Amino acid sequence: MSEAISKEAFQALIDRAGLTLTPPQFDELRIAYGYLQAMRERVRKPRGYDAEPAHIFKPAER
Amino acid sequence: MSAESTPQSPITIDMKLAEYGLKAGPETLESLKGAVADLQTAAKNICKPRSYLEEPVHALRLWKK
Amino acid sequence: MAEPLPFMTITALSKAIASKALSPVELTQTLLDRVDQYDGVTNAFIEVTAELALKAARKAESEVMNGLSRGPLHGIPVGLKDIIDLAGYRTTAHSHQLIDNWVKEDAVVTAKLKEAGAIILGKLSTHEFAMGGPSFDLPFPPARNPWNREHFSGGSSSGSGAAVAAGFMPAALGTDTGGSIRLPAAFCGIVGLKPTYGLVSRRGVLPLSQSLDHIGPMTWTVEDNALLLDVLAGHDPLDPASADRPYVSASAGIHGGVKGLRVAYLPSLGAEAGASDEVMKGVAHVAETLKSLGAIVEEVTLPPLMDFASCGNMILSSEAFAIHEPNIRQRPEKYGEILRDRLFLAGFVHASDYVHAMKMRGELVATVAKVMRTYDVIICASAATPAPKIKEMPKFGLYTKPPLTFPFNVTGMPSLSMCCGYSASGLPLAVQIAGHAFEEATVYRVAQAYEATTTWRSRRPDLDAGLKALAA
Repeated sequence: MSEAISKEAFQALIDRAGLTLTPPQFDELRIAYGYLQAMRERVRKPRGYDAEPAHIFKPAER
Repeated sequence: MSAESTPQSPITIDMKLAEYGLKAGPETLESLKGAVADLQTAAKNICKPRSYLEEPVHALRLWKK
Repeated sequence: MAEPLPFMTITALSKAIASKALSPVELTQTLLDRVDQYDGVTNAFIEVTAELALKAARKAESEVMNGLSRGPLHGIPVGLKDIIDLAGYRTTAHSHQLIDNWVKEDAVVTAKLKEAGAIILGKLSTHEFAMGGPSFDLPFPPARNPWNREHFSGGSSSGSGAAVAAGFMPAALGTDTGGSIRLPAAFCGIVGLKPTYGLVSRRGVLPLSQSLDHIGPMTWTVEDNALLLDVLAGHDPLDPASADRPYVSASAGIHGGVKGLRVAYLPSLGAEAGASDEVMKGVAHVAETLKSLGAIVEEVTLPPLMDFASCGNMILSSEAFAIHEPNIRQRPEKYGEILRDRLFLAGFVHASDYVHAMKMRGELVATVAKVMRTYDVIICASAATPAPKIKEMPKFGLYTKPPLTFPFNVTGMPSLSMCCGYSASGLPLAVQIAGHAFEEATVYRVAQAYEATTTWRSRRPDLDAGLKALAA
C-alpha cells in the first residue's frame, strides 16, 4: 500500500470534491483513503490504446 | 455543518495537477488559469438536481444478443 | 397441508390455492398476524401494507373461485425492498432524505408481480440507499438476523433476507450491486439469486450504481426462486440496460439433475478472504455432493478477489457519488453516518479511475469467460463467515473485507446463494453457484439437485427465543 496521504493533500481532495468534514471525519477518512488508493493502484495498469471500457454509447436511431 | 468543520480552502492549480501526479512550470500554470476557470464553470453547469432514477446515456453491454 | 402456512413453499401454497383448499385471504391474514407478533425480533419491515394486501388477497380469492388462474404466484404474498417503487406508498430507501417520497407508479418488477397475482405484503428494510448500513441513526432500525438478533442479517436487502427466513412471506425482492441479495440470503439461510445483468428491468428501482445494479428474487427454496424469476425476467425497452433477447423459463427443467454437468470448484476465493473452516468444509461438501450425483467437478482459479473488488468499488463509488453529489454536499446531515462517510470517500475517485475500472471490467469478463469455457457453473463460498454481530460491521468493509459475491456483479453473470449447512453456533452457512450469462436455468438445476440431498430446509429460526432475547 502507498504511504498515507499528507493532511494538506487530503484537504485539497476534500475541497475538490466540495465536501465539508468535521475533524474526526477528516482523520477517519484520511485513513480510509489509503484503502481507496490501494484499489486505485490495482485498477490502473498499463493498457493498449485500443482497450475499450465495458460501457457503450448508443446514439438514437430514426 | 458546525463551525468546527474543516474550512474549504481555495485549491491552487498546482495542487490539482499534483493530485493526478502532474507537474507544470510557472508559465504553464499561469496559462492554465483561464482554462481551469472555464472547466469549473462547466462542471457546475452539469452538476444540477436530477431525479435518482435518471440514467446515464451510456449502457453496459457485457453480452451480445 | 402438512406444514404451518408461514413455512409452506410457494409450490405447495400455489397448489393449495389452485385447488381451493386455501384462501389467499386466510394466507395473507395469517402472515400479517405473524408479522405483527414477531417483527420486533427482526425489524424486517419499514411498512406493512396490510390494507393493500388484503384487498389484493380478496381479489385473488375471487378470481380463483371464478376459475381464473394467473399462475404459480396467484395469491402469494411477497415483500419489496424499500428502494423498489409501489404505487401509492413511500419509497424511503430507509433514509431521512426520502422520508416523504410518495410514488405514483409501480416499478416494472412490482407491476409484474401484481399482474402474476402476487400480493404485496410490505416494504422491507434496506441499507440506506442500498449502500449505508447497518445503521442505528436512520428513521427506521436496521433489520436483525432471525437466527440470532444480535447478528447482522446481511445487506443491503437486509429486511428481505430476514423476512423470508422468519416465515413472514415465502418470497421477497432484493437488489444486488456487490452482493446485496446473496449476502442476506447467505446470512439468513435462504436462496437469493442475482440474475444476469440486463435480465430483469431496473426501472422504478432507486439506483446505487447503474452498471452494477441487479434486481432478483429471495425465497426459502430453489424452486420457489425460479418461479419468481420466470415472472420478473423479460425485456424492458425503457431500461437502457435491459437485454433484448427471448427468455427461457428457469423453472421448467429445474429437476433435470446434474449428471454430466461440468462444475468449476473455486476454493481459492474463500481461502483468499480467510474463510472459516466451517464455510470451507460446507462448500467442499457441496462439491463432493455434486460429484456423487454425477457432475464432473474440477478445481479452478480466477483472478484475485481484490482485482474484482477494486474494479467494482471504483465503478460503484463513482456512479453512487454522482447520484448523491448534490445532497451529500448540501444536506449531508440528512444521511446516516455510515452512508455519509462512504459517500465522502467515494468523492475522491477520479474520472480516469472510473474509465480504468471500466476497461478492467472488460478484461475480467474476458478472463472469467475463458476459464468458464469448459464449465457449466462455478461454485464457491458466498461469505467468508456466518453472519457477524450487527454491532461489529466495519464502516469501510467493502475495501478491507470485500464480499465474495462482488466478482459476479463485475462480470454480470447470474449467481445464486443458498444454505449449505449451519455453524456450531446455529447460524447458516452458504454456497454460491454462478453460471454463464442468461443460463439461470442451469444454475437452478445445480442448486435444486444439491438442495434435494439435504435436510437444511427443515430448520427455521426460533422467533420465540428472539422475543425473549428482545425482552431481556
